[in-house]
Amino acid sequence: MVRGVILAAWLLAMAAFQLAMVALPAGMILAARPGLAVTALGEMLVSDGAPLAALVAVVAALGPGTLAALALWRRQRLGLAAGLLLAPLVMPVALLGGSSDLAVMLAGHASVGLAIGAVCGFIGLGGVDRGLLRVAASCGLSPVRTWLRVLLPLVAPGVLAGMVLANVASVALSVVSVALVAPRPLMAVVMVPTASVTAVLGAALVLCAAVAAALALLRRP
Amino acid sequence: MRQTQSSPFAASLARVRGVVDGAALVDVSLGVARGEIVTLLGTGGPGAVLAVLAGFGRVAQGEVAVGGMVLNRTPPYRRGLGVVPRRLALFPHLDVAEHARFAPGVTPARGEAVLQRLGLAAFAGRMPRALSPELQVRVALARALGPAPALLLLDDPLASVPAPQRATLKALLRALCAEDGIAMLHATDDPASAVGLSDRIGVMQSGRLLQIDDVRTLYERPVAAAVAGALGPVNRLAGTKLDQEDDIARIRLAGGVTVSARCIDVIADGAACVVTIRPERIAVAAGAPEELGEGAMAARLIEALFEGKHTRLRFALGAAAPEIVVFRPGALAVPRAGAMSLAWQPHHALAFLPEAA
Repeated sequence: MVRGVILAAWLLAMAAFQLAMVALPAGMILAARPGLAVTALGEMLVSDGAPLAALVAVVAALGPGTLAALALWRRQRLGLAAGLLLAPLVMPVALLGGSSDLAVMLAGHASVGLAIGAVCGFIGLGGVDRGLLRVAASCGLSPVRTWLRVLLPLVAPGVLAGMVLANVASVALSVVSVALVAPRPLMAVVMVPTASVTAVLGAALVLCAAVAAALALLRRP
Repeated sequence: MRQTQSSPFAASLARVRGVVDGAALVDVSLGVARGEIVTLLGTGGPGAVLAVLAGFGRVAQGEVAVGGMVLNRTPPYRRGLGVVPRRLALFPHLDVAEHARFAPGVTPARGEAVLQRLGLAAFAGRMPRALSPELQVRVALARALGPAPALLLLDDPLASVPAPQRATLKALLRALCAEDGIAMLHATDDPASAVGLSDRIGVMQSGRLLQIDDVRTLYERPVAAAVAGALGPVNRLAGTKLDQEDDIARIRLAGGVTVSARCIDVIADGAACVVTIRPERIAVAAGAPEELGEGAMAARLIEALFEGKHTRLRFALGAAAPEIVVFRPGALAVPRAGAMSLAWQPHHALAFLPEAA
């Protein structure tokens, strides 16, 4: 019961996030970095179907991605099919970077979401005892009911992680797509300082961690 | 599914061949009657027989029937059998009560009744991983018995249970069998799990069912040396048959010692054979062989170990002759030096062809 409530709340939160991307003004979504260029990026993201692409990626991770994970898990080895399935993860930017057509973009985001869902689901299934399937079947559960009652509850953390990652990856890839196909050169100017700030923050964090580790090592027992 | 001709068995296999779970089955035929516990003892084959009945593997040839219906092509979830696997496969996200009512159609009342029957009512809200091995086996039984199957398949679930609790579970399984009329087919490679539980035991080797009988028959009248060795320790002595009178043959062992044994297989004079004799069937005496009577052999004591129920004595019959192990009840004070002799009743030693060994 509690598990069901948590799962439902999580799915509602995901849906609300997707709706917010569609419904809210772009400036509100990217309010953390106000400015003409960022506002323009937000508007372009929304108008170019990025929320829909993110939704498609999440659904692909949840549905086909999880089923693909199950198929990989049951095969017990990663063959050619797995290679083709996971290929979009090698360089997703190359797959999606310059696509301006909506259908192509949605297909690309779906393939990335599917691959992410498959990887996360496969990892989640790694610790599941295969004997559970036989026992469930002997108890009278069909393969579909076995999936719903036995495997899905056990693999839920992996599936949820896949949905989150697919969502984040899709939004990030949309930013790249929008930047590449933008009619104005303003975007490149905006991206560079943003990346610099991120790099400085990351370096600061690593430095803090290194100092903390050094202090811990130098402390007397 | 089609109906078999009238069968007295709750489940049966008829000349089943195939490779299931990596184990080959060769012309396996057996039946389990309602209210009967049959154990298949051996390595490789017993688990495959259970997999065939449960529908986890298809057979290349033969007939698999449960409750009078041929189930060769019926998927596992439509067979209506209870299965308790070797590693139990308890669901990590379900508590004990949820296990008992896991199968479709099992009502909460039925689940509670099963828990009561198996002594698990007090643990209904606990997660199985927090329970002892014995209770975990009971949880797996509760899950399998929830839908009231006519046949229960047990893939050595007692293997992980300590001996005292194993005896308790054996008594519980026998009670379930007798009172509820459930047929059980049990697979194991441990004779200790089979004896004390089973009405009949089938000994399997290399995918073949060598013999299926009650324990006493298997113990006293095995049809192969492998069957003789399946139910406990046995001395296996290679030799050559000299001659035969009625069914008792004289056999010369390696090293030149001549012994007598009952011929189970037809063995030609001068042919190689294998003699089996159980350690507890051998008499021991201090002194020359003549003092034990006809057929006694001189032996040299190598080692004597007290093992609780009996003393294990290890003897050498001669320089090139094989060693013989003897069990004598209780703690036996054996002189370290001096002549010793061994003897057995000819009909207690069995002679087989080497191919059947």
